[in-house]
Amino acid sequence: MKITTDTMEGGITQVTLEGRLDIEGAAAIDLKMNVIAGSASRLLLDMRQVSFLGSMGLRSIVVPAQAIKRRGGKLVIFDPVPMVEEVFKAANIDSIIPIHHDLDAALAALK
Amino acid sequence: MPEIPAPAASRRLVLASRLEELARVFPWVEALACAHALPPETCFAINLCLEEALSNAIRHGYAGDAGQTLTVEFALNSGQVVFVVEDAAPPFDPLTRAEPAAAPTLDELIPGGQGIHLIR
Repeated sequence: MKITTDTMEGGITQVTLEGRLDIEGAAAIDLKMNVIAGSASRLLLDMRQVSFLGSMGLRSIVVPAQAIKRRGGKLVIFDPVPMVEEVFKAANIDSIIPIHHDLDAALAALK
Repeated sequence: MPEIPAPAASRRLVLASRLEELARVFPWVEALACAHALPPETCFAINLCLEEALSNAIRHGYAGDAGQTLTVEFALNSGQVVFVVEDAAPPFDPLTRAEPAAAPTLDELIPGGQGIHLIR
């Protein structure tokens, strides 16, 4: 699991994940995700290249999302593949963290 | 040119009760998927269920005891894919747990409690 960060226009932090967000993947990104969540106020989580998501992977997204929200910020999940999106839906995460497939809509949700 | 048959994917995987062992599950499932032409959605669901079931057995059933084993067996019966997970941990039926209510807001969500939703 690879994690990279970029700064977009308007002070949005883009975090790109690549690989399988299984138990091993979740452990690989946990620390960095929490560090990013400690300073980013608007985070676009690019999930396009994530091929798998388990419950530990969900946790490694939800915990930073909660931290950002507590500080008055926002996190948006961007363009997960259908099977990964199904996992968010099965866990009812889609009703509390926005998922957008369109980049403009994702950026608008972060304003 | 005669077709070379793929090596038979083993139908049985034995794991030590350590979370690091779970890294062996995905390549094993992939080999079975190749051998039996299982569609990607089926593979995804298999990996999801096995990760949940096995990590729960290791963390909760065996309470972190790394000296135990778990066995996963694969069977294909008239078009139905069956995986059986065997462990020696105390019995637990996730279906008897009350369904955790969906958290109305992000603040109220308890991280990590979503596994039972995923197995269901």
